[in-house]
Amino acid sequence: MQVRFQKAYLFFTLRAGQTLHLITIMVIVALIVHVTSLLLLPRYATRNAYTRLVREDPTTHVRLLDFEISTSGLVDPNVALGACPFRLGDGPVRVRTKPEAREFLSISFHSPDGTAFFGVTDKASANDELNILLVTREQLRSIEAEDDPEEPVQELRLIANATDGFVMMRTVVQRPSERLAAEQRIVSIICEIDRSELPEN
Amino acid sequence: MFRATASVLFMVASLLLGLGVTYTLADRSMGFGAVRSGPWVANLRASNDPDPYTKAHSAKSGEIALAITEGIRFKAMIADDGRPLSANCDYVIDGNTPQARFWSLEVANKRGGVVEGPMQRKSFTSSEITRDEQGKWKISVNRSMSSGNWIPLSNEESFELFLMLYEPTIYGGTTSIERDRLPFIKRGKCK
Repeated sequence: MQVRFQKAYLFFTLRAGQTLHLITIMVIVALIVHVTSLLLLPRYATRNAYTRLVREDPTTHVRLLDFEISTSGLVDPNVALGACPFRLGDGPVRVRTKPEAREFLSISFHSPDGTAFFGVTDKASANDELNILLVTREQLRSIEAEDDPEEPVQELRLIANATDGFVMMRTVVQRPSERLAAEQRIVSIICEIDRSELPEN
Repeated sequence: MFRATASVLFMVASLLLGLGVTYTLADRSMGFGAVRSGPWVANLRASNDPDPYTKAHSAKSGEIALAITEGIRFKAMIADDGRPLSANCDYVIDGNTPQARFWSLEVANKRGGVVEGPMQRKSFTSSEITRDEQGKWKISVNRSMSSGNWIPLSNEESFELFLMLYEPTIYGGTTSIERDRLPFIKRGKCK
């Protein structure tokens, strides 16, 4: 009787040990799969904002983002939203606008994965103007080499943390009747390739 | 033979488990930078310093987070009593005016889309809301008609609330926000 009991005990202990062992391996494998897929997801996602923007139109200019493109990424219906993709390989990109007094306007610069590496609002205007030149480190070096030391720089030169990416522009629509005016403020923002400050070669 | 089949099944199960966790968290996770204040949750690092969960979420949803200099988006899926927001109940959002240059409060469905209420009203902004003599405000959110500031709910079962603060006085490094700096979500009668 005692021998049989010991055998049964040994059998269940072994089974429990094996099961525990299996569960541990399963959790570890699942964890590895989870971490790997999590890190790979942004690289292969086709729904992210940048991919959708450049798929539609890769040229550097401001376009209004309507509800269609941004429904899944919830957009405040009280905001007029614009975007402008950039490829610094084609040259520096100038973003320039004269914000209207007291109207909220923000401009943010994003790398393709959506990370914002810089953002300003209308409060940062100098001489009633926001004037930003987005450059790579090499482009900045060439531009600075051509700078006239007597002449103060009239723009904010911003080094991008990625050669490709997008600029977002937001302004609030205080009342539904003001939507058109708000959208006009967005599309009037200049966002274009500007090689004028690069040395000619 | 049995051993080989069991091993394959076991590996497939582990794979599905790992992918399932990624899929679910990419949908729902608020990321490591989540700050809570009562029912309101915001990820203050979503745009400037996103963690892998936030990146995966943006990649999957197409969402573009607000840069911290622009504003903060708070989300609420529960009321102040801790129960999930349900379209079968009446709610009153009782305003402690958020400290921001401009704010808007929006009702959305679980897929992130706007709830199509019978009167198309989905949100209120700081510039259009009706206030009392003391400058305080309330918004009723329900299916039945209410006077004053009212957002009608559609027939969908559940909904979410979003509070957008533009140029807020809450900064990126904040790790806690006092409860009374954001509006209360009070649950009333349920059907």
